[in-house]
Amino acid sequence: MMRVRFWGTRGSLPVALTAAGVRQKLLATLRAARGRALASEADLEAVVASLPFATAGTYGGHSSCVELDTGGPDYIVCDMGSGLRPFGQAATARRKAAQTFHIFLSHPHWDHIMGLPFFVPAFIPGNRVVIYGGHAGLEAALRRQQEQPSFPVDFSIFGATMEFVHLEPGRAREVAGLEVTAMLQRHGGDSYGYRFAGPDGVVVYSTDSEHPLAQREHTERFVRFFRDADLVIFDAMYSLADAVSVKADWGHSSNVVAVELCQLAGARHLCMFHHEPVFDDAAIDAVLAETRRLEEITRGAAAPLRVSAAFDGMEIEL
Amino acid sequence: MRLDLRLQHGESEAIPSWLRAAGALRPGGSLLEHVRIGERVADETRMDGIETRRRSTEAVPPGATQRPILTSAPAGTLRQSLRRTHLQIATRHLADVVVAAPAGRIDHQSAGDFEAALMPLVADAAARRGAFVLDFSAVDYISSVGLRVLMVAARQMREREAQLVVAALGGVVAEIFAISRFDRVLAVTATVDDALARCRAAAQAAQRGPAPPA
Repeated sequence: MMRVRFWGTRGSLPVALTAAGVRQKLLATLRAARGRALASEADLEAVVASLPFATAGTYGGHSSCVELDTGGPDYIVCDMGSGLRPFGQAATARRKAAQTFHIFLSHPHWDHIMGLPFFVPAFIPGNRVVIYGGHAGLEAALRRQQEQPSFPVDFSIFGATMEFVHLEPGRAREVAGLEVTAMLQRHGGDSYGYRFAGPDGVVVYSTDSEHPLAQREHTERFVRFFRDADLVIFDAMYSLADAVSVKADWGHSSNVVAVELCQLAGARHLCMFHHEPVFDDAAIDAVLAETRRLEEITRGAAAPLRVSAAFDGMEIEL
Repeated sequence: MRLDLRLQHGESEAIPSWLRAAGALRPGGSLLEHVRIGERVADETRMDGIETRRRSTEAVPPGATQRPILTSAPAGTLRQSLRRTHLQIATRHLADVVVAAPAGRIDHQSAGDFEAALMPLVADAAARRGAFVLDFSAVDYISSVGLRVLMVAARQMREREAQLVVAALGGVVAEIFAISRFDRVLAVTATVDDALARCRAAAQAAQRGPAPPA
């Protein structure tokens, strides 16, 4: 069984829940509890269970980092956003022996690499960190991030073996028991999506990817890339109206295009990702509800497409 | 060139509201204009006092004149829409307002043809600084690609200080507009009459010019 864990799901910039946001959740919870039995722990659990996710939980604020846990000894990770820090701590706590991390980088924009300087396993001798990507000069980009005056700890301090592997789009490669294929995506400076195929199913990680709607061959290319995937992790940062107007060429996509591409590809589960940093939990909840409704009214006779919105700490089993 | 289509009994249900209101189509009556998506403007004519356009350089398929032109493609999934779908536009001119009524599904398959048919009409209306109303009452579905066409059309109209209004969205299409937020960036009205009133008001305001300083 493959388990997908989300350590960072926010787009562009990490965000944090504010004191005002916590207060709103508390007030909403107390309003929901008004007049209800609260004597037992079960009563309290029942109240919490009745709350929407935006009240009882939070989508979190770390930038992109997703773990694919195949049950094997090696770690497989997509992107090194700020979510890489809690992932690294969890991985270190899980196993004390030497570890190998296979990290697939969508692109070297800051929000996708900022976790590396805080990635504890990279400081531990004996560990191995292999960074895969389609960009030339990935190593230089990561070293530059840790140069003075931007950061006080130089890349050379890492105790783990740091390796870089250049991937050719469209050429499948076996890594830690998965067949991995990269796809060139439209984004400022390019980005790469990854299709991971294994015995438990297919996961596609496709973030920071804009879809030019007028280019039919582009759509067909991505439909093939998503074909029959069990899970598609998709950049749904903007509304469609924004994505084709004021935020055209910003390199991101929408929930509407996410549903359409997944439906065209016959994918089974769409997980919206790279959430707009200005959105609070209620706004993301609303987008999720609308996206589920869109899937419902456009499904026709096809099998339902499950729709989720990723949150920090979310786990999806294949 | 006149394309004469005969409606069968009961087919008037598929006719956009403005055509029904104008009485232009009725069982046994003739269609004033037929725009088949993807075909180019061939000529322009005037019939029954209403300026119309024939947009065809292709032969009309055998039997087409015996079928209602405003039928919708069968509802289906996007995956199904990879098949060829049937989408048509009828247009009429009311003074400076062009009213175009697409019918069917505007999906990934048909959006390119929709754009090819729509944009010359929009360019013409923009050049005249007229208004353009899209009667969507017979549109069953619109995909992101179709919505993008509307955005491009609205932008082209705005650049010439002309107006594009989308009217009479059906249930599913209205939801798609809301979910995509296109209802916030395009002018949308509940009915074609509302759209025409909005265009008239805009034209009158433009005619009055800017308000004098207080």
